[in-house]
Amino acid sequence: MKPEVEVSKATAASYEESYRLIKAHTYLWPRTQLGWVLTIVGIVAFLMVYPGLIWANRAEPFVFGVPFIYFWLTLWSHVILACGMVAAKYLWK
Amino acid sequence: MSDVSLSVFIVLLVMVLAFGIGMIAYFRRISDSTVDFFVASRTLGFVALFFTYTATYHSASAFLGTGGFFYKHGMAYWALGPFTQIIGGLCLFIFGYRIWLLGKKYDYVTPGDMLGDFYQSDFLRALIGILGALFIIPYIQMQLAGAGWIAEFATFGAISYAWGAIGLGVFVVIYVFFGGIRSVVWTDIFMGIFMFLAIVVGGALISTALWGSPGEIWQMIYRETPGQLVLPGAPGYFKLPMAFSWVVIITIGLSITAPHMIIRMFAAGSLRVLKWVAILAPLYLVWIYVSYIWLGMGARAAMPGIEFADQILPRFTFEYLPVWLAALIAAGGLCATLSTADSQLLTTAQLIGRDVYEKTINKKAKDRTVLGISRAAVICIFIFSAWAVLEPPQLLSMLVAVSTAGLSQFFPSIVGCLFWPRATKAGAISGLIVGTLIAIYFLFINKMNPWGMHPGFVGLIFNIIVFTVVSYLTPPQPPEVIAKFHGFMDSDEARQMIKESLNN
Repeated sequence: MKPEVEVSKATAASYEESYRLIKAHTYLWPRTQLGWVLTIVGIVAFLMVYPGLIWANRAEPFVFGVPFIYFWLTLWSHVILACGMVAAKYLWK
Repeated sequence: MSDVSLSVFIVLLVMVLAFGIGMIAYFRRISDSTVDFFVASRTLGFVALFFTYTATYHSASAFLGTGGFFYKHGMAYWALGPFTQIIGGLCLFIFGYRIWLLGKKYDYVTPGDMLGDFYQSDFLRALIGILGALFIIPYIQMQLAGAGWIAEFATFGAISYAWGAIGLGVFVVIYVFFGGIRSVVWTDIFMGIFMFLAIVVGGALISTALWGSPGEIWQMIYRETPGQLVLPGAPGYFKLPMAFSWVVIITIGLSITAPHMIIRMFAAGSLRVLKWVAILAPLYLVWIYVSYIWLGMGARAAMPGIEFADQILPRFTFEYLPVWLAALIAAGGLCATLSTADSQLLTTAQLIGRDVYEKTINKKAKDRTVLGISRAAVICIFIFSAWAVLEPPQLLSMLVAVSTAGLSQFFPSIVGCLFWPRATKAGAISGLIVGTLIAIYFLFINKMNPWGMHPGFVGLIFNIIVFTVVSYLTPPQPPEVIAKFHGFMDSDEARQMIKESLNN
C-alpha cells in the first residue's frame, strides 16, 4: 500500500527505490524447507500448551511419578528447545 | 564461633570474593574507551556470555520471587517459566545475529544507537533511552529488596532489610563504576555458578528433609492442595489468557527488548558463541528450578498461611539446615540478586550516557566525558533505586511484570529495524507512545487486566496495530537507510561475516 501524497519527481524516484529495496529485503518467513519444518513443529508444540492446556490442565494421571500437567508442559517446552538445537546444528551454520 | 558470626563471615567471604573478581576485571581492561566499558570491545567468549546472560536473566526473582510464585500460584509458573526461557533463548539468536552484525558494522553499543539510526530520529533514540532506563529501575529495586531480605536472614536480623539493601548495593556500585561490563561479566561467571548450586541444592535439601522424596512431595501436594497443580492456582489469577499474555510479554521484555540483553548481543565475541549460548542457556534457566518447585509448592501444601511467600527459601534454609550450609545458600541468593543488579545499573547508565547525552544532548562529547556521565548515572540511579526500595515490595515477581510490560513496547520498532524495511519513523514513535501509555494506564491508573490479560500485552497489541497502520500510511524510509540496514544484512559482505563468525 503506497500513501497518496503529492511529491516531486526526485522524491517519487526515491520512494520507488525504497519500495524496490523493501520488496527485495523483506523476510518474515523461513527461507529453507528445514526452516519451515522446524517453525511448524515449534508452533504446534506451543499450541499444545496455548490453547492445549484447555484439555491438558489436569493433575491426573501421574506420568513417571509427576502430575500430568507438569509432564505435559515439560515435554512441549523441550520439543521447542529441540527444534532450536536442530536449527543450530543444521540451519544456523 | 556463634551462629551469627559464622553466617556473617561466610556471606562476607563470598561477597568479598565477588568484589575482588570484579576489581581484577577492571585492571585487566583492554582500554578506557566507551566500547570497552559498555560491550567489552565485543570480545565475550562462550563461558562469559553464557553466565552473564543466565545470571542477569535470573535475579532476585529466581532465588526469592519464584519461591513466592510457586507458593502462591502453584503450577502456573511451569506454564510460563520454561516457555519464556526457551523461546527467549532462541530469540537471542534469531534477533541477536542481526543485532550483532549491525553492531559490528556500525559500532552500535545500545538499542537506542541502532534504532535511532534506522529511524533517523534523535527523539526516538532519546525516548528509548529514557523509557528503557525508567522501566529497568523497578527491576533494580527488586534486586536491592532481595539483597536486603537475604542479608537480614543471613545475619539473624543483625543487619536490617534497609541497611542490607543499601550496603550490598554500594558494593555493586563500586565495581560497576570502575570496571563497567568487564567487572559485571567476571562477577557474573562466579555468581552464576554459585547461584545455580545454591538454588538447586538448597531446594533439594530442604524439601527432601521436610517431606521426603520428590514422588512423596508430589503426592502430598495432590492430597493437600490439588488446586495448585492446575491453572489458575489458588488466587485464580492465571487463567489461560493471562498465562499466555505473561509468556508473550516476559519472553519479549526479558529476552529480546531488554536493553541489558541487547547489549549482550552486541558484546558477543562471535556468532558461534551467541548461537550456542542461545541454545544451551535455556537448560540452565529452566532446570535451576528442578527442586525449587517441590519446595515452593510443598510449603504451600504443608504450611499454608506464610505471610511473605518470597522468603521461604532463605527462611527455611536457616530453620532446617546447618548454619554454614544455610549461609552458603544465602550467599548464592545474594549472587542471584547482585549479578542482575550490576548489569542493570550499568545498562541504565549506558542508556543515559550514550543515548541521551552523547547522541542527543552533546553530539561532540568526548569518550571520557561520556564515561564520566555514565559513571555519575550509576550513582544517581542507585540512590534513586535505594530510596524506592525502603518500602519492601509485596511480591517480587510482580515487579518483573511491570518492568517487562514497559520494555516489551520496543518490540515492533526492533522488528522493523531488523526484519521489516517498510517500517517508518512515524510508525515506530506513534506505536511506542500508544503502547506505553496504554500499558501505564492499565498498570498504574486503572489497575485492571483488560480482557483478562496482562496490561503490557494489551499495550503491545495496540502498539503493533498503530505501528503497522501508520507505517503503511507514511512514506517509506529513504533508500540509503534501507540499503544500510536491510540491504547490508542481505549482502554478500554480511553473509561472509556470518560464515566466518559462525565458524570462528
